Amino acid sequence: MENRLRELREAAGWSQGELARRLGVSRQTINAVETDKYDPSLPLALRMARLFGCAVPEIFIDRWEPEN
Amino acid sequence: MTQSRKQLGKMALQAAIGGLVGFVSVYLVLESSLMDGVAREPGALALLAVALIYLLIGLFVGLGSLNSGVGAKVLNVADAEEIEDQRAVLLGSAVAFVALGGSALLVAIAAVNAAIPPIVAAASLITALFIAGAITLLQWRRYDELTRAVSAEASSISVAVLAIVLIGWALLAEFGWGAPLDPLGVVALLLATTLASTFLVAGRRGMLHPA
Repeated sequence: MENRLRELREAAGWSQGELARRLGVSRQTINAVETDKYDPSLPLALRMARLFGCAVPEIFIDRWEPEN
Repeated sequence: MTQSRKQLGKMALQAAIGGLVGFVSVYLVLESSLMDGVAREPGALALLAVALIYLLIGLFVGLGSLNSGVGAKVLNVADAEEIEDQRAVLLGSAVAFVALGGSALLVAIAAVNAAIPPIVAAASLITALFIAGAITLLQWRRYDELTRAVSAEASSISVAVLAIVLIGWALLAEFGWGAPLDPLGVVALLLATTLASTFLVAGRRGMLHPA
């Protein structure tokens, strides 16, 4: 899933390792999310949103549209 | 130096060290009188190769996690601090890999050389399996969600691959269309498939990309 995690992290001036420590996950998890190779669990997505002071859909971009 | 050149240099260093140590290890083991006759035992030879891979991975990870400065150069981590954060998990994995690799090596030697009593070799591999299982259970809470996802996905792939290969091999052997199942070949296949599945999944998740 596309996301703005790298953009938000860099705006905060954090390395992947720094963000990983703040979220309690490994740096590789942050790298995998940023490169769209892993979609985080809902609890982790919520923690990311809280850390960056925004809503989950502002970090993760889902282009799905319901059929009419 | 740009970030990508640094990454490329680090990857080249890791590949060179791994390749050199691997080559020297294989050469020394095959030249050893302990392994006389291993070429006539395909199962033992396969197990020997897999055992050395486990042993070398375990030693690299173990030494790298004990010395974070060296580890930052030879392991796929961003910096020494990452090793310090992940030390417990890395050391646990290293112990499991060394135990499995070392004991599999003993089994491969015992298959061709009476110097290692079979009971010692068999007991060491069974003990190593318990050690590896216990480490995984004890460390499960320390694993973060990506590691757990990779572990589960790799296990699923392993089971699927092993089912296809082992059932196919068993059928061929049963109906006389192929060679009978080789006990050590099966052990080597199990260990190799587990490792290959983990690397495959880790690669797909970007975990092998140089940090």
